[in-house]
Amino acid sequence: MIDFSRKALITYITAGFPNMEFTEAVILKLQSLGVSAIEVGFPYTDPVADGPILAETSLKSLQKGTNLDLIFQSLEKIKGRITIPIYLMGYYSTVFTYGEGRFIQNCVKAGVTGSIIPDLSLDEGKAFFKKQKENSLDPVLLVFPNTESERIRLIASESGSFIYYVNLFGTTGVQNAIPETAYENIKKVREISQKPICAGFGVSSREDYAKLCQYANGVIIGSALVKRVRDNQNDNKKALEEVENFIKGILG
Amino acid sequence: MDRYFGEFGGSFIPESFFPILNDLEKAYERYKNDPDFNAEFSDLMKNYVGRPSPLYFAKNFSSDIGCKIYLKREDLNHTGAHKINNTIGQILLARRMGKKRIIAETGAGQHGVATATAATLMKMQCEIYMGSVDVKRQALNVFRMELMGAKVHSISDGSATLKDAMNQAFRDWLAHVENTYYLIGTVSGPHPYPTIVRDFQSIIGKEAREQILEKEGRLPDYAVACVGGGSNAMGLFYSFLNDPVRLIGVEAGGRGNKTGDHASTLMYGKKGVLHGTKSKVLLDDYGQVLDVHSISAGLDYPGVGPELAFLQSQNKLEAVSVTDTEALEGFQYLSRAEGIIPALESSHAVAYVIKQASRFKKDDALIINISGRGDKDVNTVYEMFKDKK
Ligand SMILES: Cc1ncc(COP(=O)(O)O)c(C=O)c1O
Repeated sequence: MIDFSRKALITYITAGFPNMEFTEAVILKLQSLGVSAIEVGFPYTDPVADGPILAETSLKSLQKGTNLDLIFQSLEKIKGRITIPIYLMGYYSTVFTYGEGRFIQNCVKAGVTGSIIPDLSLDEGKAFFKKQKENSLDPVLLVFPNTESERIRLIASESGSFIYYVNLFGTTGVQNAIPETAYENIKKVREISQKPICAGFGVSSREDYAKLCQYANGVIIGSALVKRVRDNQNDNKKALEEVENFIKGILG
Repeated sequence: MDRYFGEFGGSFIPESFFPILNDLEKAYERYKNDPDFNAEFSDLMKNYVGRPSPLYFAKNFSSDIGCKIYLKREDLNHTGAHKINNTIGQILLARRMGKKRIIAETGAGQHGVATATAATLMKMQCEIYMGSVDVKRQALNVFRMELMGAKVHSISDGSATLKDAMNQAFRDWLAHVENTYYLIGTVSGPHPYPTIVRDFQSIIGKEAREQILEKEGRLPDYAVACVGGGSNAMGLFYSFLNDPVRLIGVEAGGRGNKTGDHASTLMYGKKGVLHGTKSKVLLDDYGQVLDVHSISAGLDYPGVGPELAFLQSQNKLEAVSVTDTEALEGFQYLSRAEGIIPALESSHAVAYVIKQASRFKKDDALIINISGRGDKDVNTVYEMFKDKK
C-alpha cells in the first residue's frame, strides 16, 4: 500500500507506449525518483474519459499489439525489483472481456497492488470489488465534484486504501484548470471519511502539485507526464531523461 | 425501473454521471404518466411530426414476394425518419429538467437532424457530433442541421463514424455534465436511456398493431426492422412482445462476414461493454472494439441496445443480415415497385424479405418498418451507379 506518512506522488503511464521495454524501464525509473505509486494504464480503443494525449498513446500502444497478457508478463518480470504499489488503471470493457477472475488472478501473480476502473461505479462493481479484496487486492474508487455526501460515504467505505478525488469535470489532460472548488471539495470528503485522499486530473505543474498537497494526501499526474513520453516516442533514452526532468521539477 | 434486461444493460459510466442519470430517471418516472406531458407529446406527434404514420399495404411488393406486406411509413414523418419520435420525447423531458444545452451523436444524420429540429423548436442550444466519413456521405443532413441552427462537429478520430461521434459526445457530456442534456439517439447507452428511447419509439408498434388489426383483422406473422442501435426495431417490436409474432432484426452484413467487413453485432458480437451498457458488442478477445463497416451510416456501429441482446438470448428475436449489395438492391427495388425510396438503413429490412422470399407463405402477413426515407442517400447511391455506368 502507499506510504501516506508523507505526501504521495502517483504517476500514470500508458502501458506499451511506445513499447513494453520502455514501460518496464520507466516504472523502475519513476520508483528510483521517489514516486510513491504507479498507475499502469492498460489501453482501450474507445477511452471516452480521456483527452487527446492519453487517447493517442492508448491507440498507438494497441497498434503495437499491447494487451493485458503482455502487460502482466512485463510486470511479473520486474516484480522482484518493485517496492512501490502498482495499480492497473483502465476501462471496464477490457476487464469484463478478459474475465474478472482471470484479471484478479494475474494481478496477484504479477504483484499488482490494486485497480482503478473509472467507468465501474459502486452500483455495477460491488462483486468485483469484493473479489479483489478477498484476494488482498486494493480497488480504488473515484469521487467527483458533483458527488453528494451520502454517496461519498458509500464510495469511501467501498474504496480500498485511499479515495481518488477527481478535480474537475472533463477528460484527462486539461491543463491550468484546477478549479478553486477542488480544494473545498477535498475538505468535504475528508470530513466524511478518514481514508487518505489522492487528487488527480488537470495536474501539470509544480504549483498544482504543491497546492493540492496542502489539502490532499497525494496527487496523481497523468497526461502531463505521458506528454513527455509522447514527444520523445522514437527515443526511449531521451524519453526517460525527460521523465526524470519532469518528476524532479514536480518534486522540487 | 429495471436497470437490466436479463443480464444486459446497467450503467458503466464514471461516477460523475450518477447524479445526472438519477435525475433523468426520476424525471422520466414522474412525467411518463403525467397528463400534461403526454398531452404535449401527443399534440406534437400529431400536428408537428404528422402521426399516426400510415401502415401501407404494398400491393406490388406483396405480389412479387407472394405474401401480404405492409410497410410502416416512418419515412413520412417530419424530418424523414423515426428518430423524431424520440427526440421530441426527450426534449420535452430536458425542458422540464431545466436543461438549456443539448448534445447528440449521429451516424446517418437523421438523429442529428431530428435533434436539431426538436432543440430549435424549444429554443435550446444544440451541438451535434458526427464522424467525418459520415459528414461526407450524409452531407445533405449536415446542412439541414446547420439550417436549424445546430453546430456540427466533424470527428476524424478512429474510424470517423458513429462510434467515434459517440465517444466525442460522451467527452463533451463528461465536461459539461451539469448543464448539458445528452440526447442519445438509440436504445443504447447507460440506464435509463435504453428504456426511455424504447418507450418513446414504441408509438410505432402501438400504431402498427392497431392498424393491422383494423386492416387484416389479425396480428401479423412477422415484424421486420433493420437494426443499428435498435431503436426503430424496438419501437416496432415492443407492442408485439407478448404476441405470437416472429420478430426479425436485420443487421448490416456489409461486404461479408469477415471481421471489419460488417456491423452484425447480434449475429457475431459477444457479451461486452460499450458506451455505458452491457450488451452484445463486436470485440476482440481482449475487449477491444473491432472495426465495422456498412454502406449505411446509421447501421455502422459495433454495439446494439441491451434489450435486443436480451430478446435474442430468449429466442424472441431472430437476428439476420443482408450485405451492402443486397441493401442497394432493396433500395432500388422499393423505389421501382412502390414508388417509395427507402433510407439505406431501412433498405436492409426490405432486402431481407426479397432475399428470403421463399420463406414467406401466401397467407403470411408481414410488417416491415420503413424507418426513414432515402433522400439523404440519393447522392451516395448516385455516385455508385454513376461509376458502374
Ligand atoms: C432511417 C434510419 N433507420 C435506422 C437507423 C438505425 O438506428 P436504429 O437501429 O436505432 O433504429 C437510422 C440511424 O441513423 C436511421 O437513420
